[in-house]
Amino acid sequence: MQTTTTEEKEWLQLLLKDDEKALQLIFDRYYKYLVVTAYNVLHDDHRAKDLVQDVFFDLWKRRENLKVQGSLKSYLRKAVVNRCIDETRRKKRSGTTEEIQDFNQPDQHISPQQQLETEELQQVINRAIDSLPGRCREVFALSRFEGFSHKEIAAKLDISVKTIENQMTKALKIIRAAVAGFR
Amino acid sequence: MEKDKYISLIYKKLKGEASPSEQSALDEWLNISEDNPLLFQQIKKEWELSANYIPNIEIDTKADFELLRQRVRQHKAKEKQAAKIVQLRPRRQWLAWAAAAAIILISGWWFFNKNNIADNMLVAQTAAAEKKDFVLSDGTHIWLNENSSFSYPENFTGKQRFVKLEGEAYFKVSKNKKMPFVIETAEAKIKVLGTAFNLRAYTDGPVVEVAVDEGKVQLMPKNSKQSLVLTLNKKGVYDIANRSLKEFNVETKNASFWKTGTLVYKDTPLEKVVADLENYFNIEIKIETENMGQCRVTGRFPNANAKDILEHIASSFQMELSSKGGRIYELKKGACQ
Repeated sequence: MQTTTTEEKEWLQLLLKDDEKALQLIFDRYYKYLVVTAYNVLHDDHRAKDLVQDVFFDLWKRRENLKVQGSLKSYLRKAVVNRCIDETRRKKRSGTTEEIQDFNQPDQHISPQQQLETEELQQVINRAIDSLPGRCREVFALSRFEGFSHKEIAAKLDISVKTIENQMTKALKIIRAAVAGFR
Repeated sequence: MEKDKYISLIYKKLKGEASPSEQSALDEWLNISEDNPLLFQQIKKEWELSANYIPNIEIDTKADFELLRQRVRQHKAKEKQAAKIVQLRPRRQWLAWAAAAAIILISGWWFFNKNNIADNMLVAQTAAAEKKDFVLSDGTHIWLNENSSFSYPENFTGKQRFVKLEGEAYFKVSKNKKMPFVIETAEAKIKVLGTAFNLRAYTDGPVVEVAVDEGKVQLMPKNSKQSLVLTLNKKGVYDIANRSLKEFNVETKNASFWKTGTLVYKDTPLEKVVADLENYFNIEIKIETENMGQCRVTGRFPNANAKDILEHIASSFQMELSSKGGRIYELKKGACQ
């Protein structure tokens, strides 16, 4: 498990003193990452943003009683994912998830054309993921982006491992068909 | 169905959850035909690329933090009030009437003032080559381009959120159906409910231009009875001299290039690209060879600068690029492929 960084410790200390700036620093660092995480499961950007707002508001409200084990980032991520799962359980709707590290800059060495081609292929895949039907998308997100094992997903969503395998096969087939159609 | 079984095995292999017997079944299948390893490679590549998935959503951290800040402040204010425990005793009737009369008087004064002046407005200004971005009290995020001036109140009151612009700005207006956001420029009014768009309205410019990225925007020129309601990827242009109002399709988000720093072209004629570069970078570009202007340019240029783009164009069409003092460029020879 990742440990709390020195920076994060400082933020939490300042937060304890009710320092608005500390809240802003944490928000600036992790907001995008968390909204994308929530969006991937919920597939609704307004709900994702609202949910992440709530997590931050909660962080501030409970600043005096926080028990952050591991890094603050994974603490917040866990809070977001848990809320998402609660919400999908309640509403029986669904979605996908992703790592913020993947927002990296495109390689400098590839030409603008190649960049456009790779981007187009990536977009085809992104659109295919966007088009995954409810439960399928949700399972895909938890497996691919959250890195949960089949057992973990089965426990969280209260479905069988067999269902997970079927949903994942379905997702890969949909992506395969989209890419084959593009080429 | 047979194929599905193997896609499922490939998935488990990629996920790292294949059992030894599943692994050997997969190995066996991979050896049966030459197509099978190909399918495996394709799915593997797609699996890897799927990790780069970025949802197509816009996230405005600055504006959203403003919402959180206000929520926190409201909560604090409530806590304070709760802590005070002030006992309000019933007062005499006439005091209540006096208070009501005072409120009416004050609001009358306020209405009178509201319609006449805007001198409680704050002003944000930018000089040449300067840009600013800031968030208003309602969470609306403004990016102000160079040589522009923007007036706004500290807090919005009344039925409209009223602001003024001279110059160019990109707006991400927070949604509030009950309180439309109205921007006044020298020549036009723009009314929105909640949306994102670029507005170009320099006082010395020939046009007022609105390019919409999201939602609905109404463009109302002051000297014209016409108005336009613009939606996603539409652009409204009001020609001040002719008093003509026209609607166009926006092909790319290049209109807000000054904010995003990215230019995208897809089969765009070279002459159009050159006109853009002249406009955005304040340079002059000459194309010596006839017809070269019709060559099609495709490419995405993040952190675009004129020299890099021109060099890319020169090398893709075998043209010769020369520059005079960095302001004037010449493209010679070449051939469309």
